[in-house]
Amino acid sequence: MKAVHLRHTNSLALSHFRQATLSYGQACYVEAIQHYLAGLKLGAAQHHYVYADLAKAYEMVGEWDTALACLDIALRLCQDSTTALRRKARIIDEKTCYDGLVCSDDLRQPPPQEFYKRLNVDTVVPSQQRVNSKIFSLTCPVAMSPQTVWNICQLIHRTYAELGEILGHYPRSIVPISIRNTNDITTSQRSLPQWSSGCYDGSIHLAYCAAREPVLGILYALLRHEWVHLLVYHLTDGCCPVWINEGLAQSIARPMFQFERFKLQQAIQTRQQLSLDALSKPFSQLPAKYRKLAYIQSAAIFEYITQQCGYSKIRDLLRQLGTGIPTALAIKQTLGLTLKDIPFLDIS
Amino acid sequence: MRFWKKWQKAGISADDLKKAEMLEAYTRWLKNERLSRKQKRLLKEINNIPELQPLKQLIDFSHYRFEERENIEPPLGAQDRARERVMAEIRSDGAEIGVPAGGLEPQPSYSPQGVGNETTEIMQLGASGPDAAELRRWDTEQSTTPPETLNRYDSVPELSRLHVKFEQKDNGVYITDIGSSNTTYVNNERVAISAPVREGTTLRCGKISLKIIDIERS
Repeated sequence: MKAVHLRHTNSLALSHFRQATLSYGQACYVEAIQHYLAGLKLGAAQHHYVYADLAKAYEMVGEWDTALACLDIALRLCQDSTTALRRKARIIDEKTCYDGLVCSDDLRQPPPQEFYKRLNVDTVVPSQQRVNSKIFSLTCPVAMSPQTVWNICQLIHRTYAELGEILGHYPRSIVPISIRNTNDITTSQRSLPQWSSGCYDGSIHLAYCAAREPVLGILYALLRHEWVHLLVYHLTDGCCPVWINEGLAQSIARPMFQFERFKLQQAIQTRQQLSLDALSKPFSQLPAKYRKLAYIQSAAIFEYITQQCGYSKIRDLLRQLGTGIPTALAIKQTLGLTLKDIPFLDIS
Repeated sequence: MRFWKKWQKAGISADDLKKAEMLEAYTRWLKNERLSRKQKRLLKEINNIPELQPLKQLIDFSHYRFEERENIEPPLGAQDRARERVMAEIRSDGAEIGVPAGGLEPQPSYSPQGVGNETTEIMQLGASGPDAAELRRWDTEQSTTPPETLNRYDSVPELSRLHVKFEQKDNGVYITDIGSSNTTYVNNERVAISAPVREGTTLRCGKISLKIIDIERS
């Protein structure tokens, strides 16, 4: 009787884990977490892979500490699991980076009373709330707390000031910014591809997946990335090669993670780095296994250019590209480099 | 006055001092600190001095690479001023919502997910739980050559619980394999029982390679 009962509960647990895998594959991370936890409650605690995968789902919603706790359990169950070790190193890296990006006392202060009056429910889409400013028009889920919306407003202001100073340009008209929680919408309602969390197409669209509030550090890095696209578009009149646009955005948005450096290092060692031709196509058109590398490689190129030449020369480069001259010539004239001089750029 | 004399004694000219003050004003401005009238005036002049541009870029670099953020105590009133500035922008309605510079709508530019590694796998489960081969596949994920740091972890189990011992005998240091199952090599030669080691000797215990850098004799 006991054996039957155990088999029954384990197969139920297994079906939860299968459902969790499906949810994870569809980028429904909160749902995946719920299924993993339901499966674990039914008794499958001896499987380290469940905890390692649960950690990955927690990672995707930015709950670093819970993710690390799950990995510790996985490592207790199987101390030499390279997957758990690798994930642990990566999550520590991400946590340090994103916590460092927004560490500021400003974001702990409550919003001024006047802010509550300016926070309006959208008349067209009642599930959204809206804040208008001289710089931006922000739309975000109505479930988001006023404190978080206020913090996001401060981060937009910070992005406007910092990136304006770095690239020497400030948008002249209001920038529409929309933020959506993918946990609240169905897969078919999503406007962004599954691999992406942000887009600039004249407006800035940002997405996050969380049961409650978004992780500000991740949102801030995405905002910076898309804001760079906006400025580059204005400065170059839309004539900027993809690798310059993406590389600059990625290198300004946040520092590169250690595991990204390893990935790039591996690609170079195995001669699998992407060619200039591949980096010149929109990254959304690249096969999934090369897409991440394309972002990392472009970011590494701009990390080098920034260190060697500084932002003033990058500003000159963007202005030159706006005149429509060939990229190689613009780089030569402004940075004093030929394409061959730039590391991580494979022109063969 | 005494302060000024000190600078003069140190051989720093008034011009250099002014430049230093300009850079200080620029740094304070970047950090959103309050500026004196003199500093505001100096800030306006900074762009007219070409030799200060590389230093300005250096300040930009250190500021924008987020290296100095964590331990900065904001000056008194800076937080209120920053809040007021954001609120002032929210208070005043802008003229138009719109964007494109050149008339054409921009091509969508996406940013990748900020977390996780897109190419890593999670366990795909069949009707029953995973078998050993499936677990092994999952446990190497997509990476065939794990990063160096993890190689170190991988090699740890190859070291036996009791592997070698070092002994000082006859004015020399000797390494003895104490019956480990993963063997020991000194300069690529297998240690049968005991072998002498000195500075520069390479040891290999299981998968771990070590080099003797210094021997401190007691």
